[in-house]
Amino acid sequence: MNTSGLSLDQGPNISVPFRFFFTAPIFFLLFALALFFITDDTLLSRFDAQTVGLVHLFTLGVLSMIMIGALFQMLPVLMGVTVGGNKNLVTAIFIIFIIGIVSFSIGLFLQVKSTLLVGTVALFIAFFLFLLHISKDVFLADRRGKSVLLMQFSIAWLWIVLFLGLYLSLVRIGIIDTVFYEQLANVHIVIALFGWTFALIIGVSFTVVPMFYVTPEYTPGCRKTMPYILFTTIVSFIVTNFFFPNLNFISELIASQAVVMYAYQTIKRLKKRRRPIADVTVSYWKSAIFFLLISLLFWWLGYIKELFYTLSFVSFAFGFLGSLLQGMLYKIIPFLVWFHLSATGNFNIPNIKEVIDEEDMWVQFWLYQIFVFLFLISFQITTIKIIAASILVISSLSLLKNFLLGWGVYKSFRS
Amino acid sequence: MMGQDISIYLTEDHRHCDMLLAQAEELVVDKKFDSAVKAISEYIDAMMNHLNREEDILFPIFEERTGSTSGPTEVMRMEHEQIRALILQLTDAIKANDERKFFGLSETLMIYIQQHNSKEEQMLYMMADQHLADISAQLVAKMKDI
Repeated sequence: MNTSGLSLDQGPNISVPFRFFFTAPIFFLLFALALFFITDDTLLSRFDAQTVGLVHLFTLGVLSMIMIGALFQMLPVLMGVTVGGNKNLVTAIFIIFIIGIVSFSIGLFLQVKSTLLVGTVALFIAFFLFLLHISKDVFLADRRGKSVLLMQFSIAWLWIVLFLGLYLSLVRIGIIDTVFYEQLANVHIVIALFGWTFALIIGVSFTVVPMFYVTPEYTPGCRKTMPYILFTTIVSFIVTNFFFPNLNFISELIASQAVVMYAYQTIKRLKKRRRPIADVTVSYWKSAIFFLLISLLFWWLGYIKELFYTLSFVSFAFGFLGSLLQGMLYKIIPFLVWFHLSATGNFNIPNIKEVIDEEDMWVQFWLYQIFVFLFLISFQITTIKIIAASILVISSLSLLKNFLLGWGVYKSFRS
Repeated sequence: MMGQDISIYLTEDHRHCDMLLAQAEELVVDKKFDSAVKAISEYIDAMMNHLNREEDILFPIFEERTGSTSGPTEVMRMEHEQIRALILQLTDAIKANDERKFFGLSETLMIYIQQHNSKEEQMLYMMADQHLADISAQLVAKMKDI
C-alpha cells in the first residue's frame, strides 16, 4: 500500500482554519447591510450587477470562506493530505481572498470597472494559489476514505468554476466579448452550486454525520452513486443548456435524485443517532435539510411561476448551505479549541460544551432561521426585506460574538 | 474476510464501545444515575480492553514489522492517553451526579474518539491488514482473549 502522504497528524495550526471561520460572520454582516441598499426589483434580476455582487458577497465571503477554512482543517484528517503547513502561503491566500471579495462586490455594487478588475484578479489569484497548493495531494490521495471521491470531485469542479468566473467577469468588465454570456453564467452557477459546494457538503457529511452524532454510516450505494449522479447532473445541464434548452428538465430530474437521496439518508441517520442529546447543531442540520427539500419544491414550482426559481436559490443558499455550515462550525470550533488545548498536555481545560454558551448558540440559531423565513417572504411582501436584513445583522453579530468568546476561552487557557 | 481480519475485528470493537457510551448517556438523560454508573463502568472496561488490545498486541508487532516506533502508533498512543484522561474525568462527573459536566465530557470524548477511530480505521488498520496479513487470524484470536 502506498502510504506516502498519509498523515496521522493533528492537522494545521488552529489559526489556519479559524481566520477563515471568523471572517465569515463579518461577510454575513456586510451582506445584511448591503440588503438595506439594494432595490426590490434589482434583487429579482439575477444578471443585474448589484445582484451578482450581493450573491458573491455571500457565496464567496460566507460559504467559500468557511469551506476553504474547513478544507485546511479536514484534508489532513479525512484524506491524509498535508496542507496548511506553510503559514505564509495561507496568510497570502487569506488576505488576497478578502481583497478579492471586497473589491469584486464593491466593483459590481457601485459598477466601477477598475475595482471589479482588481477584485477579479485578486479572487483568481487567491483561488489559484489555494487550488495549486492542495490539488496534487488531493488527487493522489488514497480513495478508500468515505469522503475522498466527492472531495476530489469538488476540487476538480472548483478549477472550472474559477476559470468560468474569470471569463464571465472579464466579459462584464468589457475586456472580452461573448454571445454566450447567459449560458456560461448558468453553467458557472450550476457547477459552483452542485460541483463545488453540494459535492463537498455531501462528501464531508459522509464522514462527519456518523462521526459527530454516532449514526449508522451512509449506505454504500449512496456513497458510491452520488459522485456519478452529480457528474451526470452537471454534464447533462451543460449539454442541454447550450444545445437543447427545452430539455433542461433532464438535468433537473437527475439533480432532484441527488437532493432527495442525500436528504433522506441524512434525516434517517439523524433520527437513528445513538446519542440521545439534541443540541443546536442537530437543529441546524435538520433545518438545513428542511430548506434543501423546500428549495427542490420551489424549483419545480418555478415551472408555474418564475419567482419560485429565486426562492429556490434563497432556500438552497441561505436555508440549506448557510444553516448547515453554521451548524458544522458550532461543532468544529469548540472541538478545535479543546483539541489544541489538550495537545499542550494540560487536561484541566474546558470541555467542548464549555467553549461556547449553549443558550447563546440557540439564540443565534433562531435569529438565523427567522431571517431565512422573512427573507423568503420578502420577495412577495417587499417591506419585510428591511426587517429580514435587520435580523441578519443581529444574527451575524451574534455568530461573531459566539466565535470570539470561543477564541477567548482558547486564549485564556493558552496564556 | 481474508486479509481484513484485523480491521474488521477492531472496527467492530470501536462500534461496540461507542454503543456502550451512548447507552450510558441515555441513562443519564433519563436521570437513572445508578444504572448510568454501572453502564459507564461497563463502557470503561470495554474501552480499556480495546486500548490494551492495540497497545499490547497490535502495535508492538506492527512496529516490529514496519520498523517504525515513531510513526502512526506513537500518535495513536498519545491519543489513547487523552482518551484515558477524559474517561477519568467522566467517571468523576457521573459519581458526582453532575449532569452538565458529564454531557460536556461525554460529547468531548465521543467526538475525540470518533476522529481517532476514523484515523485508525482509514489508515492504521489498513496498514496493519497489509503488513500483518499472514498472522492476522492469530492476532485477532489473541486480542479476543483480553
